[in-house]
This record gives sequence, C-alpha cells and structure tokens, in this order.
Amino acid sequence: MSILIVGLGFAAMLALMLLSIPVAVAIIAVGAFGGFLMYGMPLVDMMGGVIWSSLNSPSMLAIPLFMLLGELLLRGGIADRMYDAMAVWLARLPGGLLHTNVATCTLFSATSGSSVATAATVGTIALPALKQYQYDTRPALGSLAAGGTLGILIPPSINLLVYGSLANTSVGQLFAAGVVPGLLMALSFSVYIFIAHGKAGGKATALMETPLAQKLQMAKHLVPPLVIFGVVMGSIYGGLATPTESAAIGVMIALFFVALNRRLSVDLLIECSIQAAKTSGMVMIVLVCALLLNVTISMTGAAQAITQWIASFGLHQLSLLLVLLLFYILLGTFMDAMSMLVLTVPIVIPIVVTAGIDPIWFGIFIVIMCEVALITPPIGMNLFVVHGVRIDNGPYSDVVRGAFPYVVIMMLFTIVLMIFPGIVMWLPNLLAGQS
Amino acid sequence: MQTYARILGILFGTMMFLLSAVIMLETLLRKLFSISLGGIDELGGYAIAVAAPLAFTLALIDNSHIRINQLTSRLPSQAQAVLNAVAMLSIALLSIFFFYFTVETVLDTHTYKSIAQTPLATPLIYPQSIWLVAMLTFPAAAVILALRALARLIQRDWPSLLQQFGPVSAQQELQAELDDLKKRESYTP
Repeated sequence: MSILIVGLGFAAMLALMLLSIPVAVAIIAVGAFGGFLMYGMPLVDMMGGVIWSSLNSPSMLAIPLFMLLGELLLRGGIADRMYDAMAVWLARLPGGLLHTNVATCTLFSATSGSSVATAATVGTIALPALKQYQYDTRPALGSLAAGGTLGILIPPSINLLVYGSLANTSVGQLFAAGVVPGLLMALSFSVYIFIAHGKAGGKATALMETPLAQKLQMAKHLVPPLVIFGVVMGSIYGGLATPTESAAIGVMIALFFVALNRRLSVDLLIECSIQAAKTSGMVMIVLVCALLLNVTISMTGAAQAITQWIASFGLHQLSLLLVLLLFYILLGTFMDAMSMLVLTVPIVIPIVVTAGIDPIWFGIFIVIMCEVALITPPIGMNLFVVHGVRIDNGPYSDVVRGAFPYVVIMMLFTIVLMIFPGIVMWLPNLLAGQS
Repeated sequence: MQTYARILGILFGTMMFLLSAVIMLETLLRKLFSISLGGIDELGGYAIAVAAPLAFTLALIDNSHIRINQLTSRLPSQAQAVLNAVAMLSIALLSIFFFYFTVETVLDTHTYKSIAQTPLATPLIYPQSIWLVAMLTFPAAAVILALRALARLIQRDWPSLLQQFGPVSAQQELQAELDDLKKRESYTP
C-alpha cells in the first residue's frame, strides 16, 4: 500500500471531521470504505465480529464504570467542599489560594473525570474567594484552567483507557505510569506559582488564622475522594483487582459515601445513570469505530507503509518525538482530546514502537498533549469553561494569558520526560517487577 | 423521545450498578476466601455489549456525539443547519450499518451454533440475542431523528435544525453543570 493512499485516507477523515460530521462516522466511513476498496466485501463482512468482540471486553466495561463513579462523586456533592477544605491548609503558602486552585482542580478532575464540571464547581467556589482576597485575575484564572487539565493524566483516566484499547497496552500499567508525571506536573505548577506569584494572597489572613480544630474538621471533606482514589488505585497496583474491577469497587464505595452524605435517592441514581450513559456512549462509539479502522489499517498494510515512510527520514528518536509534539499541538488547536486519540493512535503507534519508544511512555506523552490542547487558544475547552464561570465580565484574553505560562511548563515538562523516560516508566516497571 | 432516553438510561444504570455489586462481591470473595462465583468476567462482557448500544442512543438523543465544529461554527447559519441535517443522516446510516452487522453476526452464531471460549461454554446465541435487541434501540431513534431533520431541511426550517440538531455547545454544557451545582448547594437532607 502506498503512502499516498494512506495520506488520502487520513486527509479524507480529517476533512469529514472538520465538516462537523460526527467523529465516529468520519472514522468508520474511511475505515469501512477504504477496506472495501482494497479488499472488497470480505473485509467489510468481518466487521460484525469486530463490533461484538470490541464491545464484549473488560476495557470497554471500565469506561461506563469509571464514568458512573465520577458522576456519583460529582452529583452526590461529595467533592463540592474540597476547595474550602484545602484552602485553609494551603493559604499560608507563598501564592496562597493559587495552590488551592491547582490542587483542588487536580483532585476534582481526577475524580469527576470532567473538566467542565471541574471548572463549574471549583471556579464558582474559588472565584468569589479570590476576588475577596484581591488576587490578580489572570493568574487566578490561569491556575484554575491549568489545574483542571491534570485530571486526564492522573488515574483513573478515560483517556488512558481509550489509549490502552487502541494501542493494545495494559491499562493497569498506563494508570501506574500516569501517577508520577501527574503529581510532578502539579508540583511544577506550584513551583511556578511560588516563583511568579509568591506575593499573591497576602491578604487572605482570615483563612490563615483558621483554628487548627476547624481545619481538621474541614479536612473530613477530603476523606471520601481520597479513600476512593486510594482504594481504586491501591487495588490495581496491589494486584488485587483489574482496572475494571477497581472501577466497580469504586462505584460501590461512592454509593456508600453518597448514602453517608444522606443524598442517596432513586432520582440521583437515575440522573447519574443517564449522565454516565451519555458520556460513555460518546466515548465508546468512537472507540468501537476506531477499533474497526484498526482492522483496515492492519489488513491493508497502512501501518507498515507509513512506518517505512517515516523511517526513510532517518529521524533520531528525540527528533521524531519533537515532530510529534508539534503535530499534536497543531492538532490540539482545533480538535478535542478524544478525537485526537482515535484519529492518530492507530497510525502513530506502529511508528513509535518501530523507533524503540515504549507504548506505555507514549500513552503518557499523548495524554499530556491532550492536556495542552485543553488550554491552548483559540478553543481550549478549559479556557472556555473557566472564562464562562467568571463573575466579572472581563475579556477572554485574561484566561488565555493566565494559562499560557502553564502551557510552557507542560512543554518543558514533556521535553524532560523525553530526555528522562524513567520518570514515567519507574512505577509501572516497579509494579511489573522489572526494576 | 426524552421518555425513551430516560428508560434506556434507567436500564443502563441498573445493569451497571448490579454489575458493580456482583464484581465487588466476586473480587472480595476471591481475595479473602479464594472462592470464585465463576463467569463474572463473561457476564460483564455481555452486559457491556448490551449496555453500549443503549448509551449510543442516549448520546444521540442528547446531541452529545463528538462533532468538531470549530470551523463550521464560522459558517453562515444556513450552512450550519444543512450540516446538522447531514450529521443526523450520517449517524442514522452508522446505526443501520451497526445493526446490519449485528444481525449478520447473530445469524452466523445461529448457523454455526457458536459457543463462548470460556469455562462456562455459553452458547453465544443467548447473550447475542439480547445484544441484537439492544442494538435495535440505536437505529430506532437515529432513523426517526434523521427523518425529522430531513423534514426540517425540506421545509428549509433553519432555526429548528440549528436548535434541535446542533452539537451541544460548551456554553450549554457549562450552564447545565452550573444549574446542577446550584441544585446541590440548595439540597438539605
């Protein structure tokens, strides 16, 4: 198969997507039609079996279970008081509430799985407090937008699940690989806040002087999300449960906390079910279509064609990754994270694996690229939602400028990961007993 | 259509909650007492195969299927309306495509009397028959919605096409979350 045909297929898919044809349709149109053109009906006839086997799989099941877990934590109001609970502890640090923004957004988006819900909930609570204590607008908005991106890297992450299915890699290992970079990135954000906005928040004395007893009392709001995170991750890392089983356990524990919070009702369960079904439906359908496209790609030799073509440039591993970095930044300016994953992973994985890059490492790389896409203008989703919850009617450029330093930090961080891949691979290797 | 979505959502949620309970029980029994209920993995696989089409349908009714509208949102509203109709027709075709292959798979299973490669050796015709019924919910909704969109297109009813068939905007999504937050804050047990 020639590289020209592969390129045409990719361009056709992109063109359909840009015409706002549903992403699932764009993928399947090219996958099925391309397969038909190359091999006729036999290839197309295989698709029924592929639909059944891709749906009937544990990693597919993990998607709605993690979505349901996030919905329960969100709609059950379990995560709502996290901001206040963190603020009393972190206000004392140079940079004050900006750290709270990063920390709460990180934890909230990791547990709820939704950047829109994160911005809406944390933003609504944080912005009045930030205004009250006279924080500058831009850093405040920027830290909220950037903090909200970290949730897709810190497990449980739907993006990592989808990547795992597409790249045929272990979801447990991917989840392990996301932890250290996720926490280090949150830490880099905090270091930046220390350096650039260390004087911010000096007027938040009321928060700083909160009595210890009250601080401890408020810390109870952090218990449910931390327990769920600990049990879900601990059971995976401890080898007690698969990611799918840990999601199911998470759902049951979340139900317990919702009940403890005296919010458990049939209406709530129905609301969570409907929301989880919607979000799972939109993710699962693109995943099934991408897995069908995978069949065409492997049968027609498209992956080999593109791998050979890339290999002909004789790029060094690092240069290949830098090219991919630019490619993803460009793609991220107009595409959402899920579309980026399904469009590129089937083609890019054979290339990077041939170049000797570990697919687990690459999963983390690509998810960081998705995070960058959330806060790069013109349409970064997090920029938009944080701007949407502002109480004053300031310009959109405030949040764009506020978030820009974090884009730079993410880029630099990614380059560090390229040079020291061990930062990503340490935990998964440790758990696999290789180190 | 909203009632239909609600029923599907309840079915979906019931399956997921029950499955979570059974999986948790199985995991605890396995780790603590080395007892296995047997076949839970397999059951989970069938459950998601059945639940997934319901979720596709719900996402469709809510206009949630991922569409990239960064470029098209700059087009004149009439062009956007036409593209909304095209999107609805295309997703109806996708649902028919899925259903067609589901029928083919189930017919093959029936012909060859296929059995799952698991310890339970379940005859696949049982779970796949339920899967077939679930898969029918998707084209059932998609075709009706596509016909509605087509009717609006023929009537040149651009406002309806924009309002009812456009992708959910970030603004709408955010508003829904803000409303939910307000509801949560005012909640007293």
